[in-house]
Amino acid sequence: MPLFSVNERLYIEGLMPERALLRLRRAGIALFDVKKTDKTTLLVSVAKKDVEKVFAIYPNVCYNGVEHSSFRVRLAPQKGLTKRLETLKKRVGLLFGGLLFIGLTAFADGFVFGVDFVGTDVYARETYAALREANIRMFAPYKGGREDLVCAKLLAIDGVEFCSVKKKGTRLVVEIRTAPFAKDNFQNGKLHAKHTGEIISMTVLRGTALKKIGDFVNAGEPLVGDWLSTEDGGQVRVQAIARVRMACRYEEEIAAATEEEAFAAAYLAVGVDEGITLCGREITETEDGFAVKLSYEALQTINF
Amino acid sequence: MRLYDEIFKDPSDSACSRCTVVPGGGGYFEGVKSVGDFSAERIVVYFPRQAVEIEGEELAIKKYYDGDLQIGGRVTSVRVVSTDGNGGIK
Repeated sequence: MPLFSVNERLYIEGLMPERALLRLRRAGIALFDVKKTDKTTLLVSVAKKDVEKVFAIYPNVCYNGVEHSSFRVRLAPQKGLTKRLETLKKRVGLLFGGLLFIGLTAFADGFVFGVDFVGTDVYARETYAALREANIRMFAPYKGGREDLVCAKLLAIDGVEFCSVKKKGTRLVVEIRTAPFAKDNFQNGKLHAKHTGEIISMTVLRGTALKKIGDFVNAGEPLVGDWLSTEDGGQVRVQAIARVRMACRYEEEIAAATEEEAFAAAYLAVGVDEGITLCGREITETEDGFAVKLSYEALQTINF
Repeated sequence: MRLYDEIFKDPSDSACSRCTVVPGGGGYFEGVKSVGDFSAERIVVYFPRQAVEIEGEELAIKKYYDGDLQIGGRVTSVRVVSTDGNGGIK
C-alpha cells in the first residue's frame, strides 16, 4: 500500500459484487486494486474525482428504502499518510501554527541574543569589546568566520591561556581559561624619562606626579613617584600606574654617505621603541655629512 | 513485435482481445467485456466471444478500465472456455 494515495478506497457490498464492476466500467470509471475481502464485499480504489460518480450510480441507501440499489458503496477508512493529511486539513490552524513556529525558529537561529561565559567571566568587558570590533553584535544576525579574530584579541590579554568562541543556537559561548599561576607583571619603582623633551600629556592613576604638563624634562629625570602622601605628612609605598607623553627633538650631524643612511642612524639613536611616533624630519647636507633634525613623540608608561 | 503484428492482422473482433500472462506473475487482458467470478483463487474474464478462466494465488484486479484489465498475484492456469448464449460458461 503506498504511503500517499490520490485514490479513494471504497467497499462495494452486495450479492455477486463483481457485477458492479461492469456498470462502473461502462460509466467510464477506472478501477484500481480490486480485491474481494469476503463473499459479498469488494474493496476498490477509484480516483477521488470519480467517487461522486460511484455514489451516483450506487447511492448509499438502505435496502428497505424507496430507492433500491443492488449494491451498497461506502468509503473505506484511510490509511497511511493520507489519513494524517485529512486530519491536518481539519486542523488548519494547528498546521499553520506549527509551520510558523518552525519558520520563526529557523529564522531566529541565525541571530545571536547573548553571550555565555565558560571558565571565567573576568574578561567580559574585553570580550564584548573584541566582539564589537569583529562586528558581532547582540540581537543581530550572526556573521560567522570571525571567531579566530576574537580569540586572537582575547589570547593577547596577559593571563589568558585558552580561548574559544562558538555559536550554540542563539547564544555565543566564549570559553576562557586563565593560566593557573599567572605572574604579577607589576613593576616597582618610579617612572623616569627616557627622552629629553616637553611633557604634553600626563595621566597618573596611582603614585605621585613629579612634573606637570608643559614642563621640560631631561632624560633620566623622575616623572612619577611610587608613593602616595598621607594626611599626616607620611608616605605610603605603592606600585605606580601612569602614562606620560612627551614631545622631543633630536638634532645631530651624522657622517653618512647618503640621506637614508643618516636618517637610519638618527632613528636608531632615538631608539626603536613601540612608544615612539615620528612627527617630522629635516635632513640637510653638510660638509661632513648630513644634519638630521627629527621631531617625535615618546610615550612612556608604568603598569598602564 | 513482428510476431504479434502478424497474429493480430485478423480484422475480426476476436483479434481485439489479447491475453498476456507473466509466468509466476500476473497478467494483462485487453478487450475485456466484463468480469465474472472473482476471488483470490479464480477470476473469470469475459471477452466478446469467449471467456477466460484464470486460476492462481492471491489474485487481485490491479486495474480495470475501458476494456483493459490487469491482474496481480501469481497466475497458475489460464483456460479459454466457451460461453453459452446467456454469458455463462459451458
